[in-house]
Amino acid sequence: MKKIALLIGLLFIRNISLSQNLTFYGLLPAINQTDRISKKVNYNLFVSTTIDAFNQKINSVEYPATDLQFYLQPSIIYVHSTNLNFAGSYTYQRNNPFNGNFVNEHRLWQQAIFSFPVSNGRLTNRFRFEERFIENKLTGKYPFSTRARYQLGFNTPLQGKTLDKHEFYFNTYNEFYFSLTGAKNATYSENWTYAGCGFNLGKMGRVELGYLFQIAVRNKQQDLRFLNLTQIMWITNFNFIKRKENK
Amino acid sequence: MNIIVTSLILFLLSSLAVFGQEKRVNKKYISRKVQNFIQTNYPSAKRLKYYKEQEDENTYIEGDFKLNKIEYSLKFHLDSLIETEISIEFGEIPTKQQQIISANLISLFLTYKVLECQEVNPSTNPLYEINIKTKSGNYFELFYDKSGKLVKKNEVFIKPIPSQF
Repeated sequence: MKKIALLIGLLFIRNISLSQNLTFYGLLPAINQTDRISKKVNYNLFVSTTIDAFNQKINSVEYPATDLQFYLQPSIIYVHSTNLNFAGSYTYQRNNPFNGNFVNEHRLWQQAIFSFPVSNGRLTNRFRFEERFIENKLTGKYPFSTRARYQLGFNTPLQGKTLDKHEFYFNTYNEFYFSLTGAKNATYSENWTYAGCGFNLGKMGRVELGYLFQIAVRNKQQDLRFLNLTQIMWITNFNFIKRKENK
Repeated sequence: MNIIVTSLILFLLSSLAVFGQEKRVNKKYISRKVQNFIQTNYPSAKRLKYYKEQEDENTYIEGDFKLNKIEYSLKFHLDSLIETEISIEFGEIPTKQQQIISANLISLFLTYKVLECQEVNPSTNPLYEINIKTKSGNYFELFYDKSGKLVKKNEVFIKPIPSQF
């Protein structure tokens, strides 16, 4: 029995010594603008950047504070009903945007969101399929890969049944990422967990502050990268498109 | 089978919720003047509930109750009554006006479903408010006068489900 315990102990220690998991802490500012194009069609523009806020030295390797990712996501949303929306997008992502080793990614995606009321809030199920073209710095080419994502979310007003001006709300989600085809480190390759509180500013939209925890498989050895992010988002519904209203 | 039925019920409930944008408030936050008005004019009111409603920059107080099995909704602005609504079935509208309204709805939407029907300000400036959902999934609220003539048509726009990243 002692031998078995020792063996398990040794295996555990070996795993720790071999694991190259990396943990970073940072900030994720984002802007999210949505407006109506027609009765059923809306557009959304989502822009964010992910900042690693601290210099770190892990296993003798320096990881300077830097901007990790720039993300530009315009999308078109078809509002089928209060419960069912469809969307499509071309998204541009640039990893390490201000370094010489930056990597561009061009991405197309299609998604369906099914939402329904639960208690005072709404439960949302988001299914997204992505076609990715990620730059390979060695070949200069953009090999094709696909990924599927499923997000389960919940949001609820914190003061009454509806979210009115100058009131707070709560928003949370967990998202599972599955790399399907093309170059990949793992099939279940990423997981994002988010929880935050927002405030309705009225005409100026909403501001939301939350904690986003990203886990990603970073190599073939299944080592992980943990990103602990403070997310601050400004969500607006500014009306830039003049339209004829129904009288 | 149960999942399908439950999903359908949730879907219908949330469709109706498009028209209910109020927030419930406790009686203690309602002015004495509003409470007295309801008490004096509707002394037998049952299941009285108060709601706060925000439209543009204005705040309204709504008092909902049941009286003789009929649902009432009184809307107040700055403690003054501005609107009285009584929930009715579409079939309760007098036959002649019902036919005129139906013909108008068919001419506008061809296929539609009545979600809610109310009589607005029955003793002052009477109107019928009809909330409908069209076959293509659009929501409208339409106001008809007592003769069945269309007075106002508003489309209720649905906001997309929030999504990021």
